[in-house]
This record gives sequence, structure tokens and C-alpha cells, in this order.
Amino acid sequence: MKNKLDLLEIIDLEVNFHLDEGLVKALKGVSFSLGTNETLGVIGESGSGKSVTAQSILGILPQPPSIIRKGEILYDTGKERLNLLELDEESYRKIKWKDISIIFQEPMSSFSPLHSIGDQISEALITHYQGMDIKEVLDKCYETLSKVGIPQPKKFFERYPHEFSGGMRQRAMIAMAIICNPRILIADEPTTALDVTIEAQILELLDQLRNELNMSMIYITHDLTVVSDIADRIVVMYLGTIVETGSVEEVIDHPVHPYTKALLRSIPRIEHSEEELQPISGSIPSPFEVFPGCPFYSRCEERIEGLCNIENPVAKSLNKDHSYVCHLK
Amino acid sequence: MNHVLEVKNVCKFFQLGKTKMFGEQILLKAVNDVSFKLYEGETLGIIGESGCGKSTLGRCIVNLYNTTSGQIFYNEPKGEINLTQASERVRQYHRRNIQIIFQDPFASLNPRINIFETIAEPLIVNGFRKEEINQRVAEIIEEVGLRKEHLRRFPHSFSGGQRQRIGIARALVVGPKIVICDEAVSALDVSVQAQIINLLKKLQEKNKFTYIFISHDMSVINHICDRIAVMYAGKIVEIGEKKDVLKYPKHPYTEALIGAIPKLTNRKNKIKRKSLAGEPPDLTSNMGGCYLFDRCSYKSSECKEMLNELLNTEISNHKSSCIKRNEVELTGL
Repeated sequence: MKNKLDLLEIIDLEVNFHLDEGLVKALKGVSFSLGTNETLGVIGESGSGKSVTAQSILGILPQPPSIIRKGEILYDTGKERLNLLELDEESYRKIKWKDISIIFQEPMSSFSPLHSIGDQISEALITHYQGMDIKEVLDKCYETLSKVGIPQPKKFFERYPHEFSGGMRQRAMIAMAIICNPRILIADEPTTALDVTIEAQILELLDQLRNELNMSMIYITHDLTVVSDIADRIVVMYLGTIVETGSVEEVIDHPVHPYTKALLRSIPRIEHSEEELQPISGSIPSPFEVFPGCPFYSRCEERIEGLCNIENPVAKSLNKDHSYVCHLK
Repeated sequence: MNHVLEVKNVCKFFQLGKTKMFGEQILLKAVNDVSFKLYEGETLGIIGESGCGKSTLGRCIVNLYNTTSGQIFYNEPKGEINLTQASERVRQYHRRNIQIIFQDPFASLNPRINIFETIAEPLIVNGFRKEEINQRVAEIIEEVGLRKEHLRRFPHSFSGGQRQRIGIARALVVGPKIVICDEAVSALDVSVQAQIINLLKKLQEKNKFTYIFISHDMSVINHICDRIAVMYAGKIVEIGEKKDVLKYPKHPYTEALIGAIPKLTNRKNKIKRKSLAGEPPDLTSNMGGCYLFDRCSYKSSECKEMLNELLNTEISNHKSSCIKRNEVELTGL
């Protein structure tokens, strides 16, 4: 990609969940980086650890039951590189919402029903810029609300989350996330709960805001088609590991890892409706299961017995912006 | 071809309570005057966004809701039976012919009874003998791709895809003619979704089911259906053969739905997704004219006076409620 400085770098992150039912290794050594002004698409099915990754970056993982076993999350503030995992709560708070913010999947359950939209949107602004007077705060809120396409921001400001449709609430959520002009926006399945016509609106809005505000974005989803639409680079995750990463062109047009290939064959595509879908056999293993070797072994069509189920595959890189983790080739 | 089901002017209104103590009752018009015929052996896709009434319509057909007005006819070789006016006994008897598969595989199975009991329940209700129950359950469990030893387990030990297979087995065990799949694959992971779509197709070929496939996902609908009905704000706005609807849409809303489908592309040859401005109307208000009026880019003053009826287009068996269906050029796939 166009040479970009790494704004955020995750190195060998491991997260475990200690649950009553047993131990879940949610992330088993995840590393990737996010460049300035780049959109990184993180794709994976349920249990792949994509949301856990997002939550660890923001420091909102529920601890316990989760424990960050090892790894680093390096954030470049412009002056220095901070390891977010070593920050104390006070310094972390200075970064949250101001430098790094997040949009959640369910706009209904991520707002407090007891406070007006305005109260919730302005909260981050008031926390981070304590010298601001009330008029400035209000002006900034109105400006942000109209930036995300809300027609009458002043009226909207006074009202409560339940009074709005899903699309409008998601716009309010975006307004809340961008109000402090963050450098990194993490979008955790922001359109999954929305209808297609609304989804198209929100994706367009996010793309436009990213350019306007010079943000970098981590876009988490299970939907390959959405990722291909919005991202510059893709990280494909399966069961807590990264299996393939590269630019959108490389990964979509020339996938290497058997999981990525199978995923691309199994999604119904509007352009080829006559072809029969080729599903991935079996289902995602239970998170409590522990087995050696490649996590995709049980479902892989190209597996090599005696190798893939014994040894962990290592990362190989095809070229500058395309690498994968597999024994093949 | 013979039709197996006819839905005639069906309405389902929900009462939402009053604004004031002596105020007017608020009615939510979830399904508003919907009519269509379902032909034997076909798969009819009903597509629409949330709140358009597609699931309510499905539930009216399987008799989970009583309709507010309108009729549903089930066509047997012996003659037509009006399911909405028949006695409870007749309805009960015909219920086995029309079954439903639900969306959420986690919420639709009773966690306290095992899989055998779950699948056997419809058979017990329909008065089957014990030996036949055992035999049918054993057959169906293998047909949906599970094993006999699974029968003694409880729902919590299955994954989403397996649970959906159990839901399918429960719907099919009584030998229905019509199966309504209400967002049957929407809650599943993409890698599992394709398995279930292929399973449903295979079962249809073998047992000659007629499907009504309710979904919000055009790519899925496109894969499995023969005909498509597009619903918006409680009404069918367009209905026709799949290829006609997708290639030559005759309603601006269908065009917008097609335009909004995410496609697998990359940035180099990116096709800009067309999005429809605004949001669906409030179904409790009394609207006149076309329901899409506020969002449509082809509107003119006549649209405010139209009646929202399905009208013929130049293509046979393809109807649209847009009064400009033959004038404006709409782009399909």
C-alpha cells in the first residue's frame, strides 16, 4: 500500500476467558497493524475473536473473566509510542473517545435509555475538553449531528434513543464516536442489525467521514462483501488466529488460505445465482475444544494428515502486502 | 400449473393501545391487503426490510396469527378450503400441510426437552401412533444430515447450523405440502448458511415441497427462489418471475433494493452502491397514495392519488403497483 506509518500495531496478542464451563482461548497470538488514513477490514465468523480484538484495543474487555496473557498494543500518539496495555486507567481515559473511539453493533442496546441523545453525545466532549463553555459544546454537537446526516439536530439533541429508528440511532452512535475527531475509529459490525438500503447509507457515510476527518478505521464484520466495499486491507480471522492478510485486491482476487477460498465460494453472490453454493463442511469447533495444529484442520479440504493436525502452521508472506498462515505451498 | 395456496386481500392490524384515555385506538397496519397465489412445487421469495410485514404474513398463513380480514385458501385435490373461516378442527387438520421454519435457532427450540421429543411433538399433536412416530423421527433426522444418536441430546449441545437442521426436521416430519422459511438462514454464520440453503434445495427436490422463502437478503433469495414478491410497508409492491424482477424491475423500490446489494468487488473496479434516501414510513399513520412517495426519485403529483393496487406490466405474470411502471427506465442487475 501507499507507504503509511503505522498508527496502531498489535503484536502477538493473547486473550483467555476463564468461564465456568472451562477455558476459552479467544485470541491466540494476533498481530496486525493499522496505517494512517487506512481502512482495515477484519473479517471472521462467530467465535473468531474479532470483537475481542476491538475490545482489547479500547481496554473495555471485561476482566475477569478475560485475561490478557501477553502481547502489546502500540499506539503512536505522534510524539511517542504507547503500549496501551501498560497504561493506567487515568491515562487510558485520555485516549478513549478522543484518539480511539468505537461504534457498536446494536445501536439500541449501546445507548442509555434514560439519558437524552444530546447528553450522551456531549459527554465525551465535556470530559475531554473541560475548558469548553456550554455554547461551544452545543455548537459542536449540532455540527456533528448534521455532519452524520441528521436533519434537525437541535430537535434531535433533546430526544431519547427509543424515539428513533435503527438507522437514525446508528447515525447518532457515529456522531458520538467522531465528536472529538478521533484518529482511529473502530466499527464493530455497525451495519449488521440494519436493513440493506440503510446499510448502504451508513457505509457511504463512514467512508465519507473517514476522508473528511482523516481517520483510520478498523471495520469488523462477518460479511465479505461489505469488507470488499469499504476496506483497503483485509485481515481474515478464524478461531482466534489470523489466517490471511493482505490488500483487498490480493485477498479477494487471489486468496491463498483454504479458509478464505472456501468462504469466498460459500457466499451467495448475486452475479452467479445459477451455480450451486459450495458450503464449508462441518461447523466451527466449540471454543472449549483444545486441539493441536491448524485451527481449520477439521474443515479444510486441502489438509495434510500427519502435518496439519500436529504442527502449528507459521506465517508465510507472498509479497509485501499479502501473507498467510498455512502449511501448504 | 395448479396453485396450492391462495392469499386474498389479507390484512393483519395490531392494536397498540390509545394515545389518550378516550382517544382513538392506534392501529399498526402490518399486512395491508395482500393477495397472491402460490403454485405447486415453486419457491416464492418474499423480500423486504424489517417492519414491512413479511414475517407477519408468513405467520398468518400458518395460522399463528388470526387475520384481521381477508381469506387464505388451501387447495386440495378435493377442493378449496378456506382456512380463515373453517372450524378449529378443520384448521387443526390442515395445519400439518403448512409448516414453518423459524429464524432464530437458539430461541425456537425448547431447551428442556430433548431432540427426539422436539421433533416428535408435531406428530403427537396430530395423533400418530407410537411406532410410526419412532420411524418418522428416525428417518427425518438422517435426512437433515444429523445422526440417530443426536436424538437423546438437548438443544444446548448443538451449534447454530445443527439447531437449524433440527428446526427443519421438526417442520418436515409431519409431511407438509407447503413450508414457510421465515429468515431460515439469516442467523447463521456464512460458512454454515450455504449448507442449509443446499439442504433446503435438496429436500425440496426429493419431497416436492412448495416453499415460501422469507428473507431480507436479495442474494439468498436469488439463489433459492423461482418467483419474487417484494414487500414494502405492509404491501406487495412487485411480484413476478425471479429473472424478470431482478433484470427488469418495475418498481422504484425494487430497483433500490437491487442497487443496495453489497457486491464482492475491490476498490479498483468499485461499483458505487446506490442508496435510497430516508426510511420506511410509520405504519400507524393513515397514508394516502404511494407509500414510497417520500423516498422515491421518480415521483410526481399523480403518485399521491394512486391506489396501491398491483397492476399488470408489459411482461406476463409480472405485476407492480407503481403507476409509472411502464414509463420510467429502471436498472436491474
